[in-house]
Amino acid sequence: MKYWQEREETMNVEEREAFQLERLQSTLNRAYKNVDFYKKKFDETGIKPESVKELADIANLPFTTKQDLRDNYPYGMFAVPLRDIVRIHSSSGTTGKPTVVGYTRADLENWKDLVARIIMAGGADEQDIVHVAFTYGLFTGGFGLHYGAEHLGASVIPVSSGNTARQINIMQDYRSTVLVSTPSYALHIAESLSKMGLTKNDLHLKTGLFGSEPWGEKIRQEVEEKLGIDAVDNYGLSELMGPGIAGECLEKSGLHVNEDHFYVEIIDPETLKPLPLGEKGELVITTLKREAMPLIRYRTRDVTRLYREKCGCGRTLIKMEKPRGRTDDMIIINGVNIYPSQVAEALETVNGASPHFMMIVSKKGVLDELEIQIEVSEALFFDEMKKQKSLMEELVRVFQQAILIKPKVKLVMPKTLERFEGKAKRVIDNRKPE
Amino acid sequence: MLKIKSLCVSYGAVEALANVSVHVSEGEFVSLIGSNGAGKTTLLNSIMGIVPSAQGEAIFMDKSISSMKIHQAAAKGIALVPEGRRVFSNMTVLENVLMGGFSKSSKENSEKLEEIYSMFPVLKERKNQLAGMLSGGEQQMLAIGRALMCRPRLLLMDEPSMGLAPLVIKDVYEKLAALSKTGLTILLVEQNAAMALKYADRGYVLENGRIVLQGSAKELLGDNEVKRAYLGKEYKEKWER
Repeated sequence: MKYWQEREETMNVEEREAFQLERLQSTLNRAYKNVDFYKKKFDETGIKPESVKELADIANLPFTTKQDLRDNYPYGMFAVPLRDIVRIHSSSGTTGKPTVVGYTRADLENWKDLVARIIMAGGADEQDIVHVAFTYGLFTGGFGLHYGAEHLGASVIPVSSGNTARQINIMQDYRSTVLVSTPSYALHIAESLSKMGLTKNDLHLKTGLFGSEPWGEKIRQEVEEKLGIDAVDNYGLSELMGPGIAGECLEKSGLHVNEDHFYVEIIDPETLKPLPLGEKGELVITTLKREAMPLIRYRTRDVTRLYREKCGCGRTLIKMEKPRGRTDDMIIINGVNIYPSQVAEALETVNGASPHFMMIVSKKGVLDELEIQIEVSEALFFDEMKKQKSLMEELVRVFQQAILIKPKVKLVMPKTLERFEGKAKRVIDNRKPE
Repeated sequence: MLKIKSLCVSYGAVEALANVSVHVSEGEFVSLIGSNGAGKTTLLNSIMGIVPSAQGEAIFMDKSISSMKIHQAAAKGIALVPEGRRVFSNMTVLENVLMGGFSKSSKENSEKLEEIYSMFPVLKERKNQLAGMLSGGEQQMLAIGRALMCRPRLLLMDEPSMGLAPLVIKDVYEKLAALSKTGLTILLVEQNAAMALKYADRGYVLENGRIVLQGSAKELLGDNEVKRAYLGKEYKEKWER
């Protein structure tokens, strides 16, 4: 069995807990000292960083939410001066303001190591040719996996996303052995392969490192079969760093969390109280080593459960089930995170109308498709064809700007969309959950 | 081997250490760095039982040493080389060294003495001189030799570079590194971050009685925050918004 950082990955739990407590305490000290937001939050709630004597005491600390990051846009959450920041990433579009994430040199070093751990756990090593089909740019996915694989000593091809035929040509000619993408894109590649009259035997893939959207065993089976690979899941969150937070080993029975860098808890999303180990709830993460932007009890909104078991791979890192579901209304379409509120805001910018709308997500082949249905009103309806056409184009344009993917837009008769008591339901997800 | 968990120490109303957790594994060389008044000496004194802790626990070889007296800590295998050496200047070098073996038999001491002489030949050469006549570096060697006489498992070093010339500091650290190679566990506190981290496996940064950073020595050496803590500089403005 190969490890990237054997000592850290196979350390006994008790010793690791000593590191976790030390790192947690210094994270709290630094956050309180350097981040105005945390100083204020701690002072307001009357909690002192020194009150954390044991790991379990973390339950008394306040949470950090995505809204907090937006309120402190752009650099308010940084714990170091800008001159120490060497990289800035930013979340995809969001309502109002995006979230900004900074990295010091040390953060980047750690990031590389953590991603390298996950790549190795997935069965790849320095001999491999890693084909990164994640979008590069502000997203953390592309760069995160790229530098991790490079750090490992693998040959990295930064293909980025799009143009599937070209991707397949590159895979054939450059003999890519590891595919890094979303699971649905991997399926799409498999499909295109057969359209091009090729089979998995024309490729050299042996491993797939898939992430950034939820997927289950059925998809795993399908991709493994169609591409002839071992497909493993990995989990990351751009606010906390990006990929490298957790990843599956070849046992394929849950993701090992890099808990020496990230302290994980499960809470009940209603009562906000911590749940015992093994129960399902919302994942909450505290960074233990991040310099530039320490986050304390960040609510990921992802639903999962944590458990410890003796893993065949020898890693003693705590395990996490593949996240299923969200505690907010975010949906993931082809790996892009989208909130209905983004659509609502975009809609308001068009003629100031705020009509009733519904987002319908479905599968077209293996990829996701989004249709936005809008109830027509006078502001959105013209007798003139030309005007109507340009309005539709305008709608598609503002939506694409807001959510970064191009939806289909359809106008429907007034009062035909379903109404819900209380909180409006804005999404109908027709993708079959497995 | 040594595990300090959430330790708090106050001198009256002055809080010297707030929630400090530090651990040292068997055979490790760990450095704790910080500027003047950060609480470094207090931490070592608290481990030795010289100052009482208000809260928290200290565990050495799986046993609590929180309420231990100094001589008990020494008997357990912890030795402290104090800040400023503190050699008995009116006594000879040999007498000084033997003081460290106070609790051991003379047979044990004569064995250990030979070892120490071979490690620090200068102590043998000057064994009959008064300790006060030695140079700073030699006094530091003497203080280390004296501490080794009680056959410690854990050596606590308080600011070994204090008042020494750079070349001499290097000598002292080379000796410590050699000791570490023989399996001796070392916890060292220093203002001289560059030296302390160069020879250590891991490090902690203490600021105003609080640990603000920790990591491998290599990691810390390259860290801007360490440079700042070590230089004692504080940025007034955190960033240009």
